Parts: sequence; structure tokens; C-alpha cells
Amino acid sequence: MNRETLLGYLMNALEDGEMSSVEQELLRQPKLREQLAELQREISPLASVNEMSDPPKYLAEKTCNKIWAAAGKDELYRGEFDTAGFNTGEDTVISMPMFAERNRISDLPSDRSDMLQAILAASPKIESANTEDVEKIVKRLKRNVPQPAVRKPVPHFYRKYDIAAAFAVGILAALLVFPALNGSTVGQKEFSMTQTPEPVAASQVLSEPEQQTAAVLDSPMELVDSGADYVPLTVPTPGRDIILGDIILGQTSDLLLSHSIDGTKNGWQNISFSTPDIANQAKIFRNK
Amino acid sequence: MIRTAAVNLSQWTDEELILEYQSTRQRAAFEELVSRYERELFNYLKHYLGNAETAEDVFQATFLQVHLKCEQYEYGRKFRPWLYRIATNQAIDLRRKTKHFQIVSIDEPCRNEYGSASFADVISVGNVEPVDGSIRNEQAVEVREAVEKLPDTLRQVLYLVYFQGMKYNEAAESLGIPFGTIKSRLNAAVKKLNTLLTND
Repeated sequence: MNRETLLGYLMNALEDGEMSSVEQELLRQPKLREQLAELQREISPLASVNEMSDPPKYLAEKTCNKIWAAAGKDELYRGEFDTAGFNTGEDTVISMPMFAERNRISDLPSDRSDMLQAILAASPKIESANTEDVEKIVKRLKRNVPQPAVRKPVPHFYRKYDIAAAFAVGILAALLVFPALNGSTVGQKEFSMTQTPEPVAASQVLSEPEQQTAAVLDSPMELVDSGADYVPLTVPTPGRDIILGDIILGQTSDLLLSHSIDGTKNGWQNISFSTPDIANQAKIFRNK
Repeated sequence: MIRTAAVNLSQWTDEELILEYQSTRQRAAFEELVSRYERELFNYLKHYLGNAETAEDVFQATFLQVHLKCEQYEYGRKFRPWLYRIATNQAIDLRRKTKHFQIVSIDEPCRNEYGSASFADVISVGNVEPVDGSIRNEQAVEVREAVEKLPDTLRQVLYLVYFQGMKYNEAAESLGIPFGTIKSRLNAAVKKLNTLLTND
């Protein structure tokens, strides 16, 4: 048995199995015991400096606070804006310069911006407000928070471009779609529709939350290619509802878009919707 | 005050805590780890760096690295050696940056009129009367200085195995060197220390 193993034994650095085998050897070999005693004498001075001292007060707390502060900056720097952070009251991220530079409220989507503006405007008053004031503030906040339309997402299209650009793209889409509706192959890169729409009742394929809506729908449905990022659709007749549902394994599992055509308008209507969430194919229901 | 989670994290293993933090970023899990290692890691760093203030800085830097690199922690690995590896690397970095400056803490005991003691005196520390604190302090200073004179590679192993009570394999993992190297370095460290104290 070598010196290194004995040192390991003295310093409890061996695994349990090794420790017991060393002990058995020590019992058998007196010379080994002498060697061990000598080693013990050699390392004994270390005991004089092996005192554990107390760490500085609140070291753990200070460490964590610094890290959370740094983490807050890092998240903001990476633009990972999360309103949930405001609810915790732990990080004063809103006053950080990084916030002002990279996450201005005006840069947020309009609905979140309005809500935050309202909250910030109201917050100084909340502390001193009585119950009536609070109710007023809450009502005001509610008014400022847009009520989400049921399953009617705003396409990215409208967020990114102004109305004029949207109109221009809409016309272009109409030009592409029109031949497709008439059986032409033009525009099939973006979407396609079946030549003979399937006469499947909408209520049979729509998921439960949409049953009520589906009840007023009728066939036919039309297939839409889910490969395209955006599917433009031109609707020739006003006064119809269009429902877009995703089809998985032959059944519509989710409702992706509900669009009402303004019945007061005449002529062609153009809509465009995002399709990345469509798993397989989608069908359009038109309500006559 | 560090917040406590609804669940009793104090009963979780280190590995469970870091994996929890890795997957959920639950701060309470991280804070539990910091609290758990507050005393132990601080003392390791204080021994290694010879200065409480610097040890505090490195302690904080270590856990910042844990926070930043927690994704690199692999399931099945022991947390303690991983933490010590980060801490040792942080300490080495700091030593490298400040190698032109000798770090001296005003808290450390200093030499006194009794002069330096021989190794024989030091090993007979058990015979010293407990009331004679000055002599005991002097001997501690001697040993501490001798440890400080050890090459970095030997001192690291000595601190991890002797002062931190790590197993050979944990120390090997902490320093990223083979198991056999740890054993030979520890042996060399004790021999060198013996020589330094005898020559003094």
C-alpha cells in the first residue's frame, strides 16, 4: 500500500470500499500502522489553519441580489421583455437606462403600450386613492385594455405595414388569387383550393368551442395549402362569414380564423391570414 | 432575506436544485444553493486567496457563473465538484490578474516577537498550553505561509482534499485532472510543506 493511499485514508479522501480495505490492511500490518502514524504527524500542522471562519454578513443575499440585478439587465438587453416581471416587484427594471433605450413603451404593440401607459399614469394615484377612485381607475384601465376578439387574431400583415401598403398587397393578392378560384394553376404556390369542394357539414368537423358558430355555417369547405406563410383569399360576394379550421387526421381540430365580410360593401374582399400553425391542411367554411 | 419557497428546498439535493433552476429558473432553488455553500465555499476561497474581501468577490463571481452557465450542468454529474471547479477557475483568474500585487488582509494574524517556529515546534502544537494563544497564532501563521509558498497546482489539491474534505475523485472532477494526478499532487504537497516548515 503506497503513501498516497494512506494520505487519502487520513484525509478521508478514499471511497468507502477503499477505506475499509485500508483498515483491514492496517490491522494486518504493524509496519503500515507506523507509516500511517508518521504521515499523521506530517499533516498535523495543517490542523492549526483549518479553522472555518464566518462569511461576511448577508453574503448569500448580496450575491443573489447582484445576480438578479444583472439578470434583469441581461434580459432587457436581449429584448426579452416580459411584463410578468413587473408583477413581482423585485426588479426595478423600468427605471433602467437599458429599458429606456431598448424597450420603450411606444415600441410595444399598441394594445400593450396603451395598457402600460394607463398603469403608469394611474400608479401614483393608487396609493392615495379611496375605494371610489380605485374603482374609477380600474374602470379606466379596463377601458384602455382592448377586449380580445374571439379567435380573431390581427394578422402580422397589419402590424408591419401601413394601410396603403396593405391595400397595395391586397390588390396584388387578388390578382393572384382570382385565376386560382377559376381553376387556374396561377397562384398555387401560395395556396390551393379543391376544384370540387367537399360537402361536409361544418358542425361535424369543428371542435366543441366552435359548435355554436359552426351551427350557422354550411358547406362547402375549401382546402387551403398550409405550406405558404400567408394565404391570401379573395371573396367575391359580401355578406359571408369565413371560418378557417385546421385538419389533423381528417378532422378539424382547431379554429384558426374567423372573418366576417362586411355586408355593406360590394365587390371583391381581400383577406390574408398566417398559416404557420396549420398542422396539415385547412378548410375554409363559407357561410352563405 | 432570501425568500423561501413553498416547497421545502432544504431537503433537496444540490443536483436536484441546480436541475430545477436550470429548467424553471426558479430563484428559490438558486438561492438555496447559494445559502448552502455560503460558508463552505467562502472559506475555501479565503484559504485559497488568503484574503476575505477577495474571497467575497470571487464567491459572488462564482455564483454569477453558475447562473450564467447552469445550462452546461449535465444531469448525473455531481454539483459540488462542478461548483468548485468554477470557483477555482475564478480564483485563478483573479490571481492572474492581480499577481503583481500581494494580497494581505489586515484580519490575518501577523508575526510577533517570538519569531518563527521550527517544524518540530509546529508539530508539537498539541503540547502548547491553550492559554498561550500568541504562540499558537504564530504557528498558524507559519503553516499558512508555508501553504502559500506551495505551487498553485499543489495548493489547489491540498485545499480541496484536506480543507474541503473532498474525495480524490471529486477533487479530480473539480480541477479537471486525472485521479492519479490528484493523489500524486497531494503527496507532493505534503512533502513540500514538510520541507518548507522544517527549513524555516
